[in-house]
Amino acid sequence: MGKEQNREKRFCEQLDRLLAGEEARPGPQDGNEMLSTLEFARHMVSLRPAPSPVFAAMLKARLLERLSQQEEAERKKRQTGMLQRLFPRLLTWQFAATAAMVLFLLVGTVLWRTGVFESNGTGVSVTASIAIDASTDKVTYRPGEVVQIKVDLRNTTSEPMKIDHFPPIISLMSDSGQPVYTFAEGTRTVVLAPDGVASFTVAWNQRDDKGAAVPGGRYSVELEDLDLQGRAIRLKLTNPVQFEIHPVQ
Amino acid sequence: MILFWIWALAFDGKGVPGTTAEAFAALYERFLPKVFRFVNYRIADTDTAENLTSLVFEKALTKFDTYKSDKAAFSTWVFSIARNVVTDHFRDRGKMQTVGLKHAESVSDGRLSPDEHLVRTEELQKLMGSIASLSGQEKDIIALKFGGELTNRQIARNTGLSETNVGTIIYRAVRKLRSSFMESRHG
Repeated sequence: MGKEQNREKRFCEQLDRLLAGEEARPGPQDGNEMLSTLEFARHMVSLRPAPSPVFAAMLKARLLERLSQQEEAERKKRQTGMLQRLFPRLLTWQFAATAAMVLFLLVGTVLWRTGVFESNGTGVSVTASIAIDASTDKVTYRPGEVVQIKVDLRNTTSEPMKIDHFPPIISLMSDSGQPVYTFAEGTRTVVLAPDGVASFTVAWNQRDDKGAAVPGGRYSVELEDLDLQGRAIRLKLTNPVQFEIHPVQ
Repeated sequence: MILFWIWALAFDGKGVPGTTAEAFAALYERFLPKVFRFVNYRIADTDTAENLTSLVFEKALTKFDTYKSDKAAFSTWVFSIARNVVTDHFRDRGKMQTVGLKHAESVSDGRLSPDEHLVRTEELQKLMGSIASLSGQEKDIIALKFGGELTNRQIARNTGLSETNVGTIIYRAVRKLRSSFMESRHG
């Protein structure tokens, strides 16, 4: 190995020590040039940029949420497979399962029409089940940059669901929990089939309800009541949707 | 998914936490600073660096099916994704630049006074300006070394260069950066 290569190898060994948080240990054979290059490398290591704690926390939350959704999807797939093993694809089982489903739907429809499920203080109160998934196109934004917010509403029941005034009211909240801008509810009526999804996207120009530019900081998304077949249903995101606007410099 | 994270941790020589989320959180804590630094060295605009860093981790989650632990360590694998994300970004932008709208900032850890923090931020921006004067290959390798903390061997595997060549490029690039940095300091 040549002299130059030797020097490069020794430099990289010392650099690895610096990157590991240790002190460099130049040898007596290392000249001034090597020492000054090592010193500069130490300075470079000390100047290394770091992710902001806010960005790190928000990205972690988003990834954990996605991980949780993927695990849930895998769990459901495993359950379906298990059910298929428990109930082999014999004609008899298929017929029995279909008959049971039809009976269940008939009974459920009759009971629904008779108002058994409507809350009257003494009966059973049934809350419609809607899964809400919301996200922003980015985690951090520059001042004035448009924030795209996408919302998916999924009907997790086994019956069609009629939503009046779609899309629902959506509010941007400051870090202190105050609403800064509210998108008015829509005028459409949407019918969601079982497991159907209704999506909408809103674009926020970082202005408050008075038209003034909002200051930098953390913001979150909240959905207001949804008009479901004449009943007001409180919507809550199971996982917060948050993003950060960098302050004006 | 559980196997993926546990394998990745085991292969990188760390202990295996209990749940999948814990395993992921440990990997995330360990690799986020390195991935962010690598991207930030290539793209000085902090907002863009954050968005691309997010994209790297999202792709890692999506691509876990293709990860083969017997072919590469997790660190090598995740930086292969990071390099592709950066390359795609430059291709989409149509230009190779590392100085963007919002320059790199030093994140204060509370131990520095405001003046010291300001000096550090200015020094970092000068350094980023010096890095911009390197060739594409030099920038890539400096970013993998100082940002990703990869060994020369890992860098060689990632880039297809020899380990000796990587060492040469690093040494010469740091010398170039030193000259350029000193000039900008005194200029």
